[in-house]
Amino acid sequence: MAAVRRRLTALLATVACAWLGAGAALVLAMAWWVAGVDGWREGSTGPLVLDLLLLAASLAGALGVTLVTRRRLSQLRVAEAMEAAARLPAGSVRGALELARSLPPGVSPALARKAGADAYGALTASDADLGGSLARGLARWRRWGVGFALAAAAVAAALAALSPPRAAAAWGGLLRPVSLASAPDLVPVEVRPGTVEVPRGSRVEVVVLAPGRAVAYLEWQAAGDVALRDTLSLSDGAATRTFESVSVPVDYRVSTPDGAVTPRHRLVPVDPVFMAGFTLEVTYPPHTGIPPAAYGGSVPPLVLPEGSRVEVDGATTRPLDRAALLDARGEESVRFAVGGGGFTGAWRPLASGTFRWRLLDAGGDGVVGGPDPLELTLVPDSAPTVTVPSPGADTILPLSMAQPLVVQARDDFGLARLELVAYRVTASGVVGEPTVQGVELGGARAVLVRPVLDLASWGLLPGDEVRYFARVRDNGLEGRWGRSREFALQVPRVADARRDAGDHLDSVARRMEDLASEAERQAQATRDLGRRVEGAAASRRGRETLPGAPGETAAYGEREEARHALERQEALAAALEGIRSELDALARAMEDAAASDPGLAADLRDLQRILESLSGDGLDAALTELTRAVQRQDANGTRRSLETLAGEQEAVLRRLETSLERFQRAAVDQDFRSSQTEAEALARAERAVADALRDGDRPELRARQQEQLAGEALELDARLRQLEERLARLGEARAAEKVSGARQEARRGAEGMARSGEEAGRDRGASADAADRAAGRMEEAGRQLAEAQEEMAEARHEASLRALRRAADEALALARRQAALGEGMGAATPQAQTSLRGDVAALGQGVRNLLQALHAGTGGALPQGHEVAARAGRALEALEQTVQALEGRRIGATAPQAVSVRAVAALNDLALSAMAGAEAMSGSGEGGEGEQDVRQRVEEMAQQQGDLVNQAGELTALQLGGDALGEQLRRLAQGQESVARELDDLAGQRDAQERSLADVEALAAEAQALADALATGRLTPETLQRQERLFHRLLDAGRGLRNESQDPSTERESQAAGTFARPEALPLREDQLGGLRYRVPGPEELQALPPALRQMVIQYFERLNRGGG
Amino acid sequence: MRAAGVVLALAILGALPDGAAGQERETGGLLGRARALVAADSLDAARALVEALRADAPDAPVVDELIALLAAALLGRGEPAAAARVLEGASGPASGVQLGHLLIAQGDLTAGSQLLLGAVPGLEPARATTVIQFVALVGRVLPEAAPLLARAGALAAAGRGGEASRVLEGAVDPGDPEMGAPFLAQGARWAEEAGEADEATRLRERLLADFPGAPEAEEGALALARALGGTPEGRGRAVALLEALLERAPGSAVAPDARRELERLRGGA
Repeated sequence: MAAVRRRLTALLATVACAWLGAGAALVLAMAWWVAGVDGWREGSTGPLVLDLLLLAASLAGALGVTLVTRRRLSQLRVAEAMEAAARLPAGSVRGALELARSLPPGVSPALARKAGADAYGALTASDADLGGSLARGLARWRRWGVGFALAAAAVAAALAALSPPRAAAAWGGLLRPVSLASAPDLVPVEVRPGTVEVPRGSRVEVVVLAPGRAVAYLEWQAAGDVALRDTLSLSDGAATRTFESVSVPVDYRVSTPDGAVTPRHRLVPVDPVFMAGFTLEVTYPPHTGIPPAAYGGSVPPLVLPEGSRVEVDGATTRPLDRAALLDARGEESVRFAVGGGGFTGAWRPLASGTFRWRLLDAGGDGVVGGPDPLELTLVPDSAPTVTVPSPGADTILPLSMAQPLVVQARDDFGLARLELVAYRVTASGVVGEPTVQGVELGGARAVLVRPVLDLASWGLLPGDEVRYFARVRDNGLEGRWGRSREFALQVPRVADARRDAGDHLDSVARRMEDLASEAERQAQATRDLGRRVEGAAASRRGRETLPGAPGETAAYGEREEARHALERQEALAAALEGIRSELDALARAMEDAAASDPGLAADLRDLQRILESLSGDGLDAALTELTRAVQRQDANGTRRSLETLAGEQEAVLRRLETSLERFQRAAVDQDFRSSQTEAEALARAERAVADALRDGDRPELRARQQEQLAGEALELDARLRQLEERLARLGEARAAEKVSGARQEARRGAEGMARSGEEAGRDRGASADAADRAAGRMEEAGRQLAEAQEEMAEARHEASLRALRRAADEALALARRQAALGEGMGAATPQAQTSLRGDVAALGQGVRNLLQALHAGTGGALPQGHEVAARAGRALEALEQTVQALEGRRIGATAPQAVSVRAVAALNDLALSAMAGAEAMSGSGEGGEGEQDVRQRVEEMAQQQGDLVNQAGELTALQLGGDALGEQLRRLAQGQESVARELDDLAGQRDAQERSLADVEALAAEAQALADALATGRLTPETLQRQERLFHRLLDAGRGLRNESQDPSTERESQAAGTFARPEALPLREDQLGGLRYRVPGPEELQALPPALRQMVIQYFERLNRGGG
Repeated sequence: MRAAGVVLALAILGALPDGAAGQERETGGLLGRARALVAADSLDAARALVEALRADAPDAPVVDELIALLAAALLGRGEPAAAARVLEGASGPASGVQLGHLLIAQGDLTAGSQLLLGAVPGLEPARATTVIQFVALVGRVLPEAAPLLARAGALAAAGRGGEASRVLEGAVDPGDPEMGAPFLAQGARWAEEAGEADEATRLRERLLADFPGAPEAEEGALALARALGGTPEGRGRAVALLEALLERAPGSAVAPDARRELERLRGGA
């Protein structure tokens, strides 16, 4: 029994050992697996766990063996197994054993022994067999255990074979589980640069950082190569290893003996990044009108208007990691989107500067061949500028009330609109509403416009001021405005206006001289042309006998020359018409400015009449005939017409020459009148100042006023000296002497004014007395000027009268001679007829001489001049017909005698017309009451009212007060009352009632009301305005009557304005953008020049800039 | 058939033409006879003639001429009232001229001149020239000289140009070129018209001597040269006169005529 049990126990032990071995092999395999390729890390508890598992399994195995031994290998269980194995009855062995240990009572020991012996004897099998099922079960467990252990051992062996270091590391760890688990916490190993791209072939230094270690293992494997390992000795925990040339990808990692292992990294060799393409596109703001610009490759420095948008698009050989523009500080000011094979982006630059590119690949390397730094100059949209170079300063308004301006405007990108803003400031200080005139400029960058500030309809009066400025708006989004400085246009004083009129007449006289020279040239040219045409015709006539003679070519040349002659004559006529229009405008302007006077009006009418008579019907007819001949290509007609035209041109020339003096005299007359007006105005002002001084009203102001008045008096003296010289040149010695006297008075007046001014602060009475005396001097100067003019006019009148009477006598002498010749025509022989023709022709020349002398004698200003000229023309025609009749040409089937009688009658008519002219000049022919009278009266009243308005304006300027103002206003009231009486008287006239003066009573009432208002001693702005209105109403009434008398049959109707040409402000050319080619001098420079010279300078630069030279 | 008045008039004149002469010749004859009567200062006969004709054909031109002739003669004699009576009711241009003379003689220069000028359109141009010249003269004289001028004009109209010129010459003041020159020039013209060439020459000589610078001297010089140039002995003087004229007033109205005259004289020489 014991042996069986021992055997079973041994078997059990082998089972336990087999399974323990299997467990150990399993642990080894698990350790291999869990430890991984890098082995156990320091501090890892894996080995400890595995060891504990193995230990636990061992303990469990031991416990199991114990339990199995106690429970399954107990004597009872072994006995039962033995009974079964020996096929003994159950309990036989057990019983024997139990009897052996103790016999129950009553049991024979022998029997007990025998039974025992019998049981033991039956156990004949071996101990191995007697184990029975127990032995078999244990054996089975042993087989399984051994098998499992072998398998596990095989696996472990295989793993060890597979990776011995791994197996060693893993299993080694199992041997020191505690040390591993309790090992110090070392810093992880680090290796640089990690996984990176490096330039192909570049040298790469690998840095290993493994603090706390002495060595480290660098393992690497280049693509296509074997894995290599290098042991690096660490110094202070760091070591380096250099790969001299990385041309292929290299995988590497670092491990340390403590088991630390870095992740596997890769060195990737790459090629450098190149730029494959670059474009930059600029989109300018719309208002600049500049088309988009694109640049490729190299971008020049860019000047960009504010608001421009820049768009870049770059392509690279490899993707970029970063693309940006760096400002001067190196900060990224613009970042671009990267992706694909380049970068792209757009932005609006906000500042000028040089911007560098930052184009980096993933490795931080820059792009090879990247774009140059971007130089940007940002130009802000500046406000437009506008200047008024001409007149460029405060000035006096021309008489025409139309001020030509030169406005120059520019903008950096474009101008949208130009406006001229003007407003009136009256003499009394009332500011009117501004008037705006605008013109669209269409985006031009620079313009030079010449608007005319036409103020004719503003009803301006002396003392008023018009203020104006120009402003322009650019075409930018914000629409910025630029504005010129404000200028003032002063409405000329009456004296200035009258002086300007004189200057204008002077200018007209000079132009008339030029026209006379031109007429002389034309007449000579026409004569020459006539001779050439005649010669050419004769030549053609000679050649026409030859076949193929080129006569047409010559005819064409002649026609062209004739046409040119025609054009020249038409230009001359146009120039004369232009002067006439100017005079008409001057007359109207003077009326509007309340500066007209009867003398000037009469002179202007005379001059216009002269101009009308200059180009008479004969010239018109000659021109018409020449035009037709040229159109018909009629050589003979052209020749004849040229002859006629030359004759008419010479006649015009003679008339021009003889009328020149009239123009010069008209200018002198106007000089007289303006000087007289000025002297009278100075006298009035001085008298008013004298009153104010006597009243003790603001002596300091009066002193200043005296100083100013003295200055004006001296200016008058200077102008009178010029007048004196002009008169001397005209041979008017007597008038010049009178003017000299007036000068003396003016000078003394100026001295008195100065004295009065000096005394003003010291001795009031003395100052007032001096002022009174000065006023008297100025009044005397005015009187002497008036006398001088009157005497001169009288002398001229006499001369004209004599000329007309002489013309009448001469015409009658010619008539008598013609009558005498006519008596001899009846029986004249052919030879006598020839002589008679010459005699009659001489009479014709006599008529021409007569006309010329008449023009000369009257200074070209013939009363009824047109009529005299027409009669002379008819006389010449009759004489010509007489000559023709004597040549045998029948004139209306009439004999020469009868034609001669007609010539006598025509000469008589000429004499009569000259006599009528003389009679008209002597004054007896003036119309009396009636239409003309009413109109003249109204016009005179308008002038009178205009004088009152001017005087009121003068008073306002003097700033009078107290009694002085009252005294002056009483005088003004008297004048106003005079107008009222005149109007009242006119209202009672039948003519006025029947004509368009229905409101004359209202005008009279208004004049009276104004007189009453002035008589109160107060001068208010309202009164001044009412005076102005009355003046304009009277002016309009006079004009209405004038128009009515000129065209009484036509009923006037209003008409809607039609289309009209609007002057366009033309943009300058491209080469002028941003500035004219030649810069126009600025306002400051121009202001230093006189107005006329200033205008010339501006015109000169305009021509230069137009490129016309 | 001849009108009774005409027959009566002719009877008065004792000059009834023979045969059946035309009316024109008759009227011409009448005027000639009437002028002869006036020249002979037989104004009563002339008045009878006028009255006879006036009754028969008051609007006939010849009657107008006869009335004017008679009135001019009466005015010349200093009988304005008688002249006025004769002119009463007359409406022809010739009568109008004399009525103008009458008014001027009475001191109404304006009305007289207007009447004279009103008559001009009805007159032959050559005669109208004389009237216009007279009106021009009237326009320049002082009112107190007007009656004298009117008388002279009437005398001239009555065919007594020589007498008229002497009337004017008598009124000339050598110190007054404004009046003297026109009077002498007009007197010379009247004298010439009256056939008193010598008188005309004398007056022109005086004109040139007393008023060489007057405008009238130019025409006077030409007329004088023309008169003197008609004789060989006067030709040299005529040439000198013309040369002086052309030198002094080359641009005057008469200068071209003077030039031709000068050429003619030189050619003749």
